[in-house]
Amino acid sequence: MFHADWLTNNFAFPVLMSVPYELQRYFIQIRPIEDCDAEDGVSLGHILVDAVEAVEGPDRASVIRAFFIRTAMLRESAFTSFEEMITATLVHHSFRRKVATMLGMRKGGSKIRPAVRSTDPGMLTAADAETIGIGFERIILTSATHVEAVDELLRMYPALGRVAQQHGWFQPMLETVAKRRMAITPFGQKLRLWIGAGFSMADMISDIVSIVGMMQAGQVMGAYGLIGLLSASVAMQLLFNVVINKHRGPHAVAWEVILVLSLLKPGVDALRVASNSETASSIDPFTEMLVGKAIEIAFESGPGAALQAVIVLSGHWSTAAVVSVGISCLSIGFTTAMMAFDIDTNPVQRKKVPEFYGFTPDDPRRRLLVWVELFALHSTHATVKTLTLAMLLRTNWRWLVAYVAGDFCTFILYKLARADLLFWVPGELKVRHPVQFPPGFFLLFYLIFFGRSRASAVLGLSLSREGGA
Amino acid sequence: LVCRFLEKVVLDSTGFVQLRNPVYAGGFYYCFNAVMTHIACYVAAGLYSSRYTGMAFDQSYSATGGNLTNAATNGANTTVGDTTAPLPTNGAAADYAASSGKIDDFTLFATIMALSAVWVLSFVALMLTIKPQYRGSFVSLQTGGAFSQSHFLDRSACPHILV
Repeated sequence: MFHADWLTNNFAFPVLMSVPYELQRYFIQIRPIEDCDAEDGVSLGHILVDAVEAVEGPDRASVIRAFFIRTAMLRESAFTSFEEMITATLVHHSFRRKVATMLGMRKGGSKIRPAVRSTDPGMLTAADAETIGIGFERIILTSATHVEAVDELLRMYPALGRVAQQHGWFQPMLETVAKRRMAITPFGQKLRLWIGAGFSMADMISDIVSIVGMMQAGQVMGAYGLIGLLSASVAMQLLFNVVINKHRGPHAVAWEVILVLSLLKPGVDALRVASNSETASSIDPFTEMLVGKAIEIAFESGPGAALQAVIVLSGHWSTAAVVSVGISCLSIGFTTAMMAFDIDTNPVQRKKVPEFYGFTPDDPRRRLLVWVELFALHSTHATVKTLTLAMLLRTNWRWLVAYVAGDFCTFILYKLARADLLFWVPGELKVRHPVQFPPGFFLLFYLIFFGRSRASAVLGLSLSREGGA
Repeated sequence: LVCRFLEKVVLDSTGFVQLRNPVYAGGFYYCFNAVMTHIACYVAAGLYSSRYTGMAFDQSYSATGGNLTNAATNGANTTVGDTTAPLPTNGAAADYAASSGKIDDFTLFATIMALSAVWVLSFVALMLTIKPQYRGSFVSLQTGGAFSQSHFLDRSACPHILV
C-alpha cells in the first residue's frame, strides 16, 4: 500500500499531470490582474516555487525574472519591486546564510540595512524590496506556521499590507511561498520539530534503559512503577490515535498503533507537520502532535522524572537514571516553551487579546532569544519542582502531602481573597458555579497531619477510641 | 474548582508562562508561585539533608526487591531466599551497589543553586528581551473578572466586541 503511494506521488502524478500543469501555468500567467483571486494566488505561489526549485544557485534569479516578465498579475501589481523581494527570499540559500539569517547576522559582517520607512508600495526601491525579502526569509525561519509568518510580514512592512488590501491574491501567494520554504528548510520550525521529537524518543529510550538498570540492581518496585507510567503513556497514545483514525479503517489504525508501539510516533508526527502533509485523521497534524506531547508529559515525563528522582535521592542511583531525569525535564521544558511561544506569536490570539498575547518581539534574532529563554525557564522550573517533590517524598511522605495540599490551598485562598475564584472561561461562555469548602475538610486535614492529641486539645474533644486524648 | 485545580497542576509541573493570564493564575501569583517553588526546594533540601538518614544498601534491597536481603551485611553476596547470589558488578547495577545511601549535601545544594541561577538569569533575560509593555503582565494583580470585562469595555481597536 505504501509502495503504491510512493510510486503514485513520485512517478504517476508527475507524468500524468504534466500537461494539465503546463496548461494551468500558461493560463495563470496570462490571467488579467483584475480577475485574480485568492485561489489564483495559491496556484501562482506553487508554480513560482516549483520553477525556482527546478534550478540551483544564481540561475534562480534569472528564472524569477523570466517568471515575473511572463506573469501579468505580477508584472502589473502595485508592488513594483516585488521581483527583488522574491529574489532575496528564494535565492542564495547556502548553509552559512541560513545560519546567519536565523541568528540575525548579515553574511559578511554585521552591516545593518536601513529600515523600510515607505508605506506606499509604489515608492519602495529595489534596496527596500531586498531588505523586505531578507526579512521575510528570517520570519519564515522563526515562525511556527506560514500563516503567522505572512501575518507578521504584513504588520512589519505596512506597504505590503496595502498591497494585500488591493490584491486578493497577494497574501495567499506569500503564504504559499512561506509554506513551501518551511517544508524544505532544515532550520526554524523543522529543526524545532525534530529536536522536540528527539527529546520525546530519547525520553522513552532513557526510561527503558533506566528500567533495565533498576531491574539489574534489584529495584523492582521502581522499575515496575516506571513500566506502569510508560505503559499508561503508550495506552493513552494508542487510545487517542485509535479514536482519531478509526474512520480511516483497520489498516490505517494498525499502522498508527505500530508507530506508537515502536516509539517512532513523535518523529513521524514531526515529519508530517514539517512537510505540511495532509492526514486523513480527525484533527490536523500539529494538533495531533501537541496532544501526543501533552499525554507524554502528563503520563510519562512528569511522573517518571519524579519517580526516578526519588530513586536517585536514595543514594543508590545509576547514571542512566540521572540522565533520564534530565531528559524528562528538558522534554517538559521544550514542549512547554514551544506551546507558550506558539500561542504568543499566533496572529489569531494576538488579534483577539492584544493586551496579553504578543510579548515576543518581531525581530527574528530576539524571537530566537525569547524561545531559548522560555526553554531554560520551563526546564529549570520542571526540574526544581521534580526535585522538591522527590526530596519531600524521600524524607517523609506526610510532608509531601502537606506541601502539595498547602500549596493548593494557598492558591485557592489567594483567589478567594481577590474574589477571583470563579473561573472565567475565555470566550463568550461564562460559567459561574459557587464553590464552598466544607469546614470538615480543614478539620480532616488537621487530624491527619497533626495527630489526634493536638487536635483534641485544640478542639476540646475526645477523639481516641479509649475515650481520652 | 476543577478548572482551578487543573491549572494549578499544570502551573506547578511546567511553570507554563501563559498561565500568568488573569483568567488563570494571574501575573502576580505566577511570579509568587515560581519564587515559592524555589524556596520550597531549598526547604526540602534542608529537610532531606538534616532528616533523611539514607537507606543502607541491604535495607534498600530488602524494601525494593522484596525477598532480597542482607546485601551489604553479607559482604560480597546477596541472599535470595535460600540461594546466595553475587553482588552486581557491572553497568547500572555496579553504580547502584557502589553508591552510599544518600546524596551528599554539596552535590545537592550545588545542583539546586545552579538551577536557581539559570532560572533567575533566564527570567531576567526574558524581561529584557520581551516588548516592554508586556512586562507588567508578569506582576499584574488584575483578576479574571476585571480582565474579561475590560476586554469587552475598553477595546477601541475592536469595535465589533465593544459593549
